[in-house]
Amino acid sequence: MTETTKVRVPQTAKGHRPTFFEDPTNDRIMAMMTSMITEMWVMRERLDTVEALAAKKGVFLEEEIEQFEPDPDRAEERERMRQELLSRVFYVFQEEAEDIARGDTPESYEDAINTSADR
Amino acid sequence: MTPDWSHDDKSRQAFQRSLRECVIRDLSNGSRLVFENQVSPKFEKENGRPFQNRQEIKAEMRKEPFYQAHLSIQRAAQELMWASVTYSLDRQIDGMMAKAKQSSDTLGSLTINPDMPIPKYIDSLDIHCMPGGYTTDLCDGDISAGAIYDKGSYMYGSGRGGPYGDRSGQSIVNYLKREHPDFAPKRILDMGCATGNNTVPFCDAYPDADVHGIELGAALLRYGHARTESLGKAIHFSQQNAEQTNFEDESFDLIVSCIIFHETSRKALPRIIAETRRLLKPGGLMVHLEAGQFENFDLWRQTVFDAETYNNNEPFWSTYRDMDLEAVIAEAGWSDGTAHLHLEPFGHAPVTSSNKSQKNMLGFWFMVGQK
Repeated sequence: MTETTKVRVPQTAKGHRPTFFEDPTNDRIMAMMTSMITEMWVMRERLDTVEALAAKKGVFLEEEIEQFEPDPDRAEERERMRQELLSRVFYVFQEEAEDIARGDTPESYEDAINTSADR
Repeated sequence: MTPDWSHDDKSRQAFQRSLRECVIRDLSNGSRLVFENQVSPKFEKENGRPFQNRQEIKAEMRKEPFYQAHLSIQRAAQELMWASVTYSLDRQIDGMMAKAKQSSDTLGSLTINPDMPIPKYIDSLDIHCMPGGYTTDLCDGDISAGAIYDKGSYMYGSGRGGPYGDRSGQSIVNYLKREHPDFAPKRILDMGCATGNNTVPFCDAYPDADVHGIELGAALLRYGHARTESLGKAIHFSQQNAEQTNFEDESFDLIVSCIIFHETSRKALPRIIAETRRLLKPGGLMVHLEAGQFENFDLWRQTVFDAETYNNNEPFWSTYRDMDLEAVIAEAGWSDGTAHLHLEPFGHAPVTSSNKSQKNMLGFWFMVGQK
């Protein structure tokens, strides 16, 4: 390696990437959505840091953001916020899981309509 | 040599840990409900019998849209976990390498063997989807695989490896101190030591011993050497294949490994156990730590674990967990009663292989032997 060569750290894994849906487009959408929610959190946390610092000092320097370490209470609150964000974005799985746990089916839904229609 | 993570890097990494918890809690749990409440009863009704093996379950579950989405997101989460490390390392790897090169051999040592053939089983896929895998060696003095592995494996274990990523090594030490309180090994070998995180506890537990670590990946070793020196510990690292090392017969009192068996092959694993026997002094101990065989888990758990083989670049994972380890031990020369399998459950009392009727117990399995 010469002085000017920049080492490139590998960014992808060797091995065929599996897909799970009949249409691989759905897998791409899932991957992009999962990445997007990560980036959304990165923005949200940065804002949280800004807010925390603003509340503390009123004025602050950018390097103070880089150096900011949340105290244990705030770190715990952040984990709660992240889990809430995940629950919101993945709410549809919770919906489905609870349907399954309750035994709700399209037929039981239809039954409810028919039952309520019975006078 | 420690990476300098920006505010956003730290956010991204914390988020990937949270995402892993969420996938395990919500998506895996949902898939289990799909299996137990829908797919399993339907299969029994149509076939007049329950599922008999994980292959049947997999074939039916793969048709379920919930499970498809679960696996798709789980795969993306695994890739994004590594990405939260590799993107930032790419920015700073040159500076880190320069610092690692300055690390001196004041305590331990490092021997790289560029002529050592890299076995296919470690190199055919990038295991766990870790970009570049264990054996990529980008340039003279490369440490990138070690830096990726050290941070990534901490996240992969959701931090359960502890701040020093040494929980597996520590659990072997705890076992030895409990079962063999007077054991005082003078020479210790850790096979497949990666960056040496799980080797360090042996330096602390047996301060008078010479501690050696062997590993296939050169960049893991260089990083591990620099890391270990910075911790003030003495480990002699060398690039060697555990199937056939250059150590003399009967040269170690204690030989250990931490979760390497499932990353080898059907042919290599018996060789590693036989090599362990060759290297041990009479009366010496082996303790190889691994995940449990499939027979210890119900069919649904087996299905969940088996998915890792196909979706997380774990080519030997399921084959290994179906192998008859008692037979492998016997073939490697351990006669009756000198070696056995032993479960150390997380947070419970130990369980021996003769008393393992309870399924799904989470813990480390030890292959223990005394020569």
